[in-house]
This record gives sequence, C-alpha cells and structure tokens, in this order.
Amino acid sequence: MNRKRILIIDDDIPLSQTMKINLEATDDYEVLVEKKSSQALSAAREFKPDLILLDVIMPDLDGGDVSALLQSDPILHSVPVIMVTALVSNGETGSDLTVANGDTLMVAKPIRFEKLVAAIESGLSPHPV
Amino acid sequence: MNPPFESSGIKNPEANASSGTAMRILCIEDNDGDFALVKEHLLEAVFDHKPEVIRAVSLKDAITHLSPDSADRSEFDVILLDLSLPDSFGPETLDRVDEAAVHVPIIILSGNEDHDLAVKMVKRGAQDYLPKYFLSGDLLLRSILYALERQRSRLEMSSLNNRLQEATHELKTTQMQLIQAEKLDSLGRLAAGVAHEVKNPLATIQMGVDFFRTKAEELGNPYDIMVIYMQEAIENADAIIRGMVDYSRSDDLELKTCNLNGAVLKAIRMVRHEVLKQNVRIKKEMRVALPAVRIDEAKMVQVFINILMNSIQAMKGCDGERVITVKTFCGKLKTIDRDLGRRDYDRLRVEDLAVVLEIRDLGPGITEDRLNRVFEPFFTTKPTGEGTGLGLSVAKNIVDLHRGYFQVSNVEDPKGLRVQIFLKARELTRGPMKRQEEQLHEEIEIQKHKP
Repeated sequence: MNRKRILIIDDDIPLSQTMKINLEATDDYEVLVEKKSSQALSAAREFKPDLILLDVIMPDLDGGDVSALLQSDPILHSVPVIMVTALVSNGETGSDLTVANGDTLMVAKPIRFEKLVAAIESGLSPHPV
Repeated sequence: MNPPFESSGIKNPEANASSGTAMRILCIEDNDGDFALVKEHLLEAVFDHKPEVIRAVSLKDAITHLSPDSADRSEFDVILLDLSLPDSFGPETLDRVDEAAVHVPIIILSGNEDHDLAVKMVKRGAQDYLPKYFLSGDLLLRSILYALERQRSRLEMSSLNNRLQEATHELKTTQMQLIQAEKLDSLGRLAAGVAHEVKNPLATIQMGVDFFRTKAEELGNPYDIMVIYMQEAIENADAIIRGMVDYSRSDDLELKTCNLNGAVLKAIRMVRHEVLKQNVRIKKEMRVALPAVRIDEAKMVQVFINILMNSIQAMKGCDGERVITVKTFCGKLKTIDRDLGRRDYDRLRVEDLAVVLEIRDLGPGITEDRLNRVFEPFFTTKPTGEGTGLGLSVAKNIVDLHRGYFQVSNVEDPKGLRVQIFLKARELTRGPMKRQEEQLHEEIEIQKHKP
C-alpha cells in the first residue's frame, strides 16, 4: 500500500497529534509533525511530503511566511499546501469549511475529520491546468 | 494674527481714529438744532483730521446711506443715532440701524437721561448712550474712540469664536472617526486572539470525537448519543466565535472590488480648492493597468484627502516649487514589517502582489525622532489650531482595517516627505493579461519599523 506522506506544521501539539492519530488510523497516510515553523523547510526537505498541512498563526514565522519560503524553494514549491486557520468568518467559507485564498486552499478550524480528508485528497489530486 | 476686519470685508475703524484719513460719521438726527449742536461739538473735538459728518434725517434716509447699493456704505466709521425719528421710535430704531450697518459702532444721542434705557440699549448692541445736553467735544471724541476700540475687540472676539467653533467641530468629527476606527481595530484584535485560543482546543476535541465516532456507533446507545452531543457542543462554540470574527470584520467597512486610481482621483478632485489656493501642482503618475483592490472607497478617499491636505500644508512655507507627486503602481513585496498584535491570515506578506499609492511632497519632511510618533493620536507637527493630531492615526487605522500597510518616510532628491499605502492586490483588471504580468515584476519594499 502506497501511503501518502503528510507533513503537519503546527505549534499546537494536541491538535497536530490528534490529526496524526486520525490520519494514520486510516492506513492511507504517513504523518510527520513539525511544531517549529522555523524548522519547517528543513523538515520538508528531509521528509519529502506529498502534501503539507500548515497552521497560520504560529510564533516566529507564521503560516504565510512558511508558505512563501516553500514557494521559493526549487523542489518544495510544487508540494501542495493546505493552510489551517482559526481566523475565518462565516462569510468566507463555503459549506465544506474551506476557503480559497488565491491559489492556496484553506480549511477552517475546527474541521471534521472527514472534511479534512476530503480537502487533503483534493489537494493531492493533480490540478487542472 | 490678521485683524478680523480684512476677512469680514469692512475697513479697520482704528485706522482713522488716530491717524490716516479723516473719519466719516453718519449722524442720524431729524432735529436741525440738535444736528447743528452735534456737528459743532464734533468740529471742536481734537481729531487728527477733521471728521466728515454726513446727516440722515430719518430711518429711511439712514438706511439708504447704509444700503449695499450706496457707494459709501462701508465707509462710515461710526454712527451717532437719535432714537426718536419721524419714521421710527425707541429701541426699534437701534435694531434697524444695527441691522443695516452690522459692523459699524453706534452711539446713541438721547434727549433725556434714562439710565434703564441706556443699559438696555447697550445690551442691545449700542456702544454708548449719551444725553445731548451733556455733550462736549471731548466727551464725544472719547466716546467715539472707546466705541471703535470696543467694536474692534468685539469683532476680533467673534472671529476667534468662529474659529474656535470650527476647530471644535473638526476635533469632534475626527475624534468620532478615531473612536470608531479604534473600536473596530481593537475588536478585530480581540476577536482574532479569542478565535485562535479557543478554536485550537476545539479542533483537538473535534479530532477526538471523530476518532471515537466509528467505535461509538458500533457500541450503540449511549456511546453514539454521547458523541452526537459532543459534536453539537463543538459546533455551537464554533458558531459563537465565528459570529465574533464576522462582527469585527464587516461591521463598518463596505468593501468593494475596484481600481485604486478611481479613489485617488476622487480625493484629488476634493482637495482641488486648496490646491489652487496654495498654488500647488499635483503631478499624477498613475499606472493604468492596476490590479483591483478590495476597499471601502468612501473611507479610503478620506484617508487620501487627509494625506494630500497634510502635504499641501507642509509646503505652505516653502519658497520653491510646490509639487505633490501622486503615484500608483504595483509589485511584489520583498520585505514586510509585521504587526505582531494583528493576527490575520489575510495580511500582506512577502511575495504578495501589492498595489501601492505613493504621495510625495517637497515640504520639509519630519525629523527622525518625530517620525515614529506620527501615528500617535493627538501628535501633530503643525502649529496649535492647524491640526488636531488625529488625522494620521485615523488614516492608519482605516488602512489597518483593510489589512494594508501605511508607511511614512523622509526622502531625498528631491527632499520631501513620502507617504505610501500598500494594499493587497485582488485580481488583475481586464486587459491584456500578459502585459499586466510583465509590468508586475517590480519589486517593492516595506521598511522595517524602528523600535
């Protein structure tokens, strides 16, 4: 079974660990958690994820900064990123709790696991050009 | 300070009192004998120049002399008035003459000495009340000079009072704007803080509930019911926080997607009067193909007007050319100064495409020690009475609410002050896409704020 590699970058350990447990319980994913945003780039280079779940509000570099770093990296720029944010108002999300911010897919916290999986699968599927 | 007379359109009465040209006096008196007496006293009084005395024999006659059609209307320095005229009597005479000659001091010459009436008349606007049979040249001269001086102070006071009222009004309006903008700003920060602190644990609980759900469904009642209630609780708590974020976001901004140039041109039109008055030239360097921004146009126009007015005022004392350069452009952000108190996923970031408005003047700029304070409420570099010190702090709050960035810096060559507003580009406007993208490769920088 070819499990997809998911890198979670989030400073909130209970949240990232519960996401990891749920994702790995499906047997479809292999998950690495990085709690320090400043280590995000090196963790990603080493782990070579298929997709990155990126928290927005973190001390030091925030999600936007990390995303910018990833985009400017010659290898990592092609890895799909899903931003996970608490700061979404009702007007900004659809019923699937996701919000498209330019090219970046965003999901709102708290998100139900089945919707998180749907967002991940949509992120993993090749984008129509 | 300028004397109030210049702006009120009448001449300075003081100018004739002690020097310069002869004083012109309108004497409203129907009795020939009384008029002859008054004139005699006036001629014996020691004026620097012999006064010119013009007579009116009735109220109607007096009003003709004072009417706007009369060529010499504004040239009377003082009015000597008998209250009992063939066509008018008592206090009404004073009111009518006062109405016809708003800024000319009136001295009442009365046939009898009535203290109560005298006080009443002075309260009603007369400068003095003299019984005719006590008159002498000296008394008349003194009364006229005092009347002129009192009138001058009264006008000056009323002009100062007007300015005070204008300033108070301006202060109140700006204060309201400041309070409104600050309220929204702090509410936004609070909502963002609470959202972050509460939603993270909620998200963890959600993951837990999802983890147990399948198992609970297999086990059935009451395990599955327990999970359903927990799920409801998460959703209720989430809805409350979202409502709070919603409220702080959309309360006061009517955001529309539009081209920034339109708002800038509106602001320029609205300061046109001041531009002409101060002999300022506005040089426009606006990029036509500009990506759209999402702004509350009315509020942004206020911000731009505020900056333009600051620039106009800054160049007031400049001898050289007075030019304000208004430039719009866009580019990718290479650096950013982050406001750590503001938690927002939608803030400007490095690599973002930003639309920039730049307003540059040729004024003296702001000294470096003051530059860090320009956004403080009530901080001003203008003389007392010319600025409330609220304008820029309100302007910055409005830009903050738009999740933009406001930057003020001194520039050289040519020397002056530069204000820049950075806003996130939302989408490219219609037009040849390729060309627009080529133009977007300019790199722009936000300077790091000095602590």
